[in-house]
Amino acid sequence: MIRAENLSKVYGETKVLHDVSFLLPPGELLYIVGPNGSGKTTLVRMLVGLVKPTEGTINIHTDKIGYLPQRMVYKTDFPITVQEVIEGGFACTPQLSKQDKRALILEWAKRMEIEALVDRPMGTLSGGQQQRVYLIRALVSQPDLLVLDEPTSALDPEFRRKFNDLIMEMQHKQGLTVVYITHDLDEAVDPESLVLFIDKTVGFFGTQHQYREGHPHAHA
Amino acid sequence: MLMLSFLMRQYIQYAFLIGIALSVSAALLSPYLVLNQQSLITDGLAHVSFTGLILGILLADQPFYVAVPFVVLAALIIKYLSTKKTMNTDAVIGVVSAVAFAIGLIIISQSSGFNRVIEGMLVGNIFTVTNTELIFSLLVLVAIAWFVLRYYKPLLLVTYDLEYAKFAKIRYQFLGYGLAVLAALLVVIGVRTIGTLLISSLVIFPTLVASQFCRSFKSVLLCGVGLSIVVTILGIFSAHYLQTPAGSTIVVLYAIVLLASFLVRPLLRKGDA
Repeated sequence: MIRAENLSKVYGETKVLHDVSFLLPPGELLYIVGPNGSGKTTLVRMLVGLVKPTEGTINIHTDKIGYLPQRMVYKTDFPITVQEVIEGGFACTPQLSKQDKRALILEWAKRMEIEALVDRPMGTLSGGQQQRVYLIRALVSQPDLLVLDEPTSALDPEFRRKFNDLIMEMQHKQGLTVVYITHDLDEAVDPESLVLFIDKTVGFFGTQHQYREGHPHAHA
Repeated sequence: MLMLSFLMRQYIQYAFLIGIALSVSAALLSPYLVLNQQSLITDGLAHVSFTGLILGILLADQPFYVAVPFVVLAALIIKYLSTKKTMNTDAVIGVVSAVAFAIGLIIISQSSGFNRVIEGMLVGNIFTVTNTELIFSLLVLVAIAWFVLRYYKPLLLVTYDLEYAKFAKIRYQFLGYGLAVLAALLVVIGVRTIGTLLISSLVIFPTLVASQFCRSFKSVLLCGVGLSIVVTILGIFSAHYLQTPAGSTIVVLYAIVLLASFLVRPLLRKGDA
């Protein structure tokens, strides 16, 4: 469960978020939508502890959080393999043995269709392949809460659909709570998934079905 | 046998020991500093160390007793100021090292008998190592090796993806200060043996060369260590026979290896394709 109450964030004199509140029950899938500069990324960075709110509080039911940051351009000449990148995801679960970690990495690499690339240098992968690596890094620690900031931005349409199906499956079968920033609500297949529309403050919070029925931004 | 008989001399043995200790220490720190665009911190600290050792000569029997805290303090100041958003890291290094070096030059101008000392510190002399310096360099090697082995994965995460390291609650500030302090200790001993102007190259070259061939971070670290040992041994041998400064000879050898790696790398890639 995520309980966000009266969250505000101010940088200097710029108000990035104002009085944002919502309650996300465990096992739910929440899509966060809104225009560019609306504070979506600031909000999820607050959820994962990277940004402190100027005002307000956040309570989260678990410490086991997986996080995929907004897509960044990494140094392609950095000598690091796919496996070494994914191992960063075990930073919060160091108790796993080396063999268990390798097995988990290979299992996820297979699901993400990059099993042949595990020992390759990151710099030789395409943007979409790199994005899958970072997704695996977010998932290998077997989180209870998964926070994704535009996870499918670099993926091709076919894998984008597969990825969204996978997230839905994990949410339904494993009770994973998911917070998912997207620009494209067409990715949200389940009409009962939740939508939070923000433009510095909350413009809408409810099911996707309600959002499409009654919110002017839904078809923008 | 005759060629190797010089190895029986104690000052040669000390030179090899301290050379290997320093080059391995530098190679262990190398990927974390070079791949994070922080390699110039060693150059800046070398300038600070110059002044620290000058002060040490004036104030104590063992210059290290003054130079070590002086340079460690400078490293902490550089690290602290670079975490503030008001100045870039390279600007902070430039300011702190220039000010410290300027103070050193002022002290020299007001004193006498420093000419030979200055020359010695600019180019270093690995063949005049004292017991204290040898022990200190071995202790620095142990400290750096422990730090890198103990925090290998958190250090890698901080170097590659600081944002994710912060999310994962890695103690990135502690690791950053740790690296800065260890680099300071390495530099203090390196200035006396390799020279103020050259010590940073021991940190820069191993990763530059190894990353031309190695695919993983771990292999870059290990290849860098292996390469540094080989180049240092060859460098000291060459310096002894050619009667050249050991530090300079090691740096020139590194440069030749780097050049060769640039030439060979495209051929290897062609072979991979």
